Amino acid sequence: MRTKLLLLCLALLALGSSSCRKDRPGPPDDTPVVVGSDGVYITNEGNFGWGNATVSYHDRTNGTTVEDLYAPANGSALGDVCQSMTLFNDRGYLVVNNSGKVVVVDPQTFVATATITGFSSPRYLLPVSNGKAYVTDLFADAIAVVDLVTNTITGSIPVPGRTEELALAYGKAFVTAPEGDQVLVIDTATDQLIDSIPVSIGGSSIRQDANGRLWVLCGGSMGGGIAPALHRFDPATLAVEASFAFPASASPWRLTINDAHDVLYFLDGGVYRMAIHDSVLPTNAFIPADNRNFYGLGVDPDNGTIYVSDAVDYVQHGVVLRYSPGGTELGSFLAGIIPGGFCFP
Amino acid sequence: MRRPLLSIGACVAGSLLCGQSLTDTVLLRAVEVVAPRITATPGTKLVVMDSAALAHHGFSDLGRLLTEETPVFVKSYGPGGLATAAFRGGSAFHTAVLWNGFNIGSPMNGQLDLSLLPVQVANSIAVQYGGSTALWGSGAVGGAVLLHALPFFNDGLRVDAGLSIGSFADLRQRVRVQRSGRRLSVGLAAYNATADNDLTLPRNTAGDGPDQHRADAAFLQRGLLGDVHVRLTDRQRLGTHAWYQESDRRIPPTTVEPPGSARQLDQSLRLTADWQRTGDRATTSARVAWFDERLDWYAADGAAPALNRSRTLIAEAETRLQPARRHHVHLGLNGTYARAAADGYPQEPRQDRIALFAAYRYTSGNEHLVASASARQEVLDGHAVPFTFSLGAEQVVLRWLTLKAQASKVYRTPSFNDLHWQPGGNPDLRSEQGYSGDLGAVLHRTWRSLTVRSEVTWFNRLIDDWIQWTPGPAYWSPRNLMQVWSRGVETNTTANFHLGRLGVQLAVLTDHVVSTNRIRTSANDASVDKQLIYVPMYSGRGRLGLNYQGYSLTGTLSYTGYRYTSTDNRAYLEPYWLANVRFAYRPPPLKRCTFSIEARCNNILNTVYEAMLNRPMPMRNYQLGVSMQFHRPSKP
Repeated sequence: MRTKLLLLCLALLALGSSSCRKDRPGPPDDTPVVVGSDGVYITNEGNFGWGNATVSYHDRTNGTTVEDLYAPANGSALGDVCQSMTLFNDRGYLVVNNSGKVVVVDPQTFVATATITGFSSPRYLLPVSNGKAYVTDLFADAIAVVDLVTNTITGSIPVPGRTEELALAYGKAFVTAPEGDQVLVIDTATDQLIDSIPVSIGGSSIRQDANGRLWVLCGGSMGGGIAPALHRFDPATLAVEASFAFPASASPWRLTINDAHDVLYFLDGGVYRMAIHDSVLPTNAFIPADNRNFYGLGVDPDNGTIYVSDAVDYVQHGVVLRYSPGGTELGSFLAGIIPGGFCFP
Repeated sequence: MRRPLLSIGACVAGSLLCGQSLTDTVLLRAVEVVAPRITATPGTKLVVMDSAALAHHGFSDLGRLLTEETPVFVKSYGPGGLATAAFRGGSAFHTAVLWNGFNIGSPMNGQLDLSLLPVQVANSIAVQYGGSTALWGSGAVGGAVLLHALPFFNDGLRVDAGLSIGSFADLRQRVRVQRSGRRLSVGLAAYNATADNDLTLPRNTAGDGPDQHRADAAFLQRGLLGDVHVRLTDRQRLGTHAWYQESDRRIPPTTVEPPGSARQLDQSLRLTADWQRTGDRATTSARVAWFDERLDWYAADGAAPALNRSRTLIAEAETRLQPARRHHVHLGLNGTYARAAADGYPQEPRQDRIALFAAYRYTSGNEHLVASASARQEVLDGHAVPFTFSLGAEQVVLRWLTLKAQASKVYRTPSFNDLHWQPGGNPDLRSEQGYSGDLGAVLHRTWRSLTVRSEVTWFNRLIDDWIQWTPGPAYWSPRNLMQVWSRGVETNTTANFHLGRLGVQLAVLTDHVVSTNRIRTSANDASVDKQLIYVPMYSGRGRLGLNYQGYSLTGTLSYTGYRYTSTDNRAYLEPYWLANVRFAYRPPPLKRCTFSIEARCNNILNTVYEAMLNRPMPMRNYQLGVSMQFHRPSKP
């Protein structure tokens, strides 16, 4: 009886220990990497409120990838929700949305050289002159004017409501308004809001084509009502030249343009493309989503390679897929959590 | 059934009659403790907090008690901040918290903030591991925390007051007065706590530069508790509880966000009444509860608040029959009505829930075998939700060895937020459901003054339709996404002995939990067969207590293993060791008064750690408390 019981106890323990498994993850990659000047930076938002934003790097010459440049180089976390990165004058400007800051880094060592603070919810940065940039600030109802020499906010341009992406043309900054139905026009000499262009509601991304025209993608109103639309306008005359309405069920976003500035790309589940001379919107995806969660889109301005990120479940490292302009998959690599933005040299 | 009840009774008596020997049968007989209803299915692992544990936490909240006394991982956002418990690789929604038998989880978000529950709202606390939805209904999937404010009769006048002062300007006061005679027992308690929770963060965890202070986590909490119990006849008893509590907290952002001024106000009123008639063959009871809870959230100073309010009415009737000596039958009917209002709800959602439950229990003649089967069917807004059952047995095989086995079906219904929150709420969500099983062995031996008890439990659980909120094109939305397989081994070993007048208590608890997703949700999903985020695979704690003539010294050491912060298990938080020391002295009673003084040093190793990503936890900190107990026994 006793022996049997002992055996039973041992069996129970064995059963338990059989489920044991190793919990120690691989060693963290915390060696700083100095990168070349021919690579693509991928901003990984990280989870809102978790502070796990990172910046990945893909070397175009040799195809190598660095999962995170910032933390190893600086010994600290970048912050909460890295929304975008802009390269300008041999500096990288990382807009860290929910940390309310813009971190200035050396593009090769990724060591932070300055931090611009005082924003509430910054989104995108646009250099408008050699020493001045505009930063859209979601909840501030204003665009911040930043001195790129002193790395401080020197002024603010009041705007009606939220603002998102910016584009520069003819000495004017054109700013989309995600909750408004206009593109705001700002005189970069006087830092004044001087005009607005009527488009449909939900403006998000804005790009300039080979003819100098600006294209703005509007997401429509949340919960139906107004359908998404794509508009083209002339930044010189401010006249809207063409508008393309999407079906109400569509959710297009992430408008971008190719190296020749004559083909537009955007996401709506899959990747869609449209030549700037096309008279209708594309109906079929150029790269179907195929059970992937496409989240970020970029096109290499040098060779037209398409970079699209899959955020998977938003709580694991995302995958960046590379495609030729013809749509052939060239390969993929792992980035950080929620890869959202691409920054090309 | 009788054994767990007795143990709870003894525990309560122990905690309230601190300093008195538990074996003092005269006292136990004189003071009548009314035991709660059925506590656990046989075969279930039930850990009753002993008097020492409760005495150690006279000034703690439930989150801290679970952190320090159990191996359950408590997701804590810092002192005064949100704390939720995840048992056995489940989520916060899989932990049921019951106060006097009523589930006090919010119908809105389906969970409860343990940092808002002061330990002193109960005089009996038990932690039940494993699935028990057949007993407690939706949500009791990973485990349940059972809090009881048990009434006393014939105990005379008792006054218990205490105050403490600690690091981070933490000040706490509590007082409780109870008067009980043969037929009437009246109790009134009040508590108050304030803290500024200004943490000094060590270098490098905050990101930018040198030492930083986090000064936006101030905390204020106060509450009032009252209870009246009347023995109507020798067989009938009527009782009521009223509990009002309010708290006002600053909610600090993570260390990588700019300082904020978010603020949360919580207000809750909980009223219960129960009636019980004890017969020779049947005990019948009826109980009713009314909970009214408000949560006001201010994103910043001066911002318009987001107002949330829920109201719940619960009515329950049950009868326990003993048709023959070895057989018990338990039948019950529960009706729960909940409604809520929030900015996120277009209409005020309402929920009607009727549950019918039945249990049968067999006890062998020598009481070496206890077995039970129970079943529960709930009807939610007119639709039947999964039928649940549980089967369990405990067999004393040797004087020193008891074997346990339990199997049950478990489920959780979606919360109001899951179903109705706009935008995102998904009215088509199904209930999560699955199976859970335990096998366990309890070894119990006594050699002279040494008593050793060791419990080893192996558990296994599979849950389908696991609800997960995921971002969509425009907003987050919950879906029935994952299938989660959780399994592991828990051990709980205690040893007590005496060396002359020195009493020594030693405890070692370990947890090994593997909780993995089994479904690939998209083409590049690397989360299959990976551990769920924030579920430590290994954790454990040890405690050494020494008692010598009124002096006591307790040291605890705990280990929390890797917690992954990404579902592919590539991002993680480092493991940490924490040590706490507590010293207490209780001089001999002065007439009817007993005084005690305690001093604690938490995180004595000054460990830099985070339970949650970028939510700093306090470094070494101190707390000093004094308490006074006055007791005038009722005349014999």
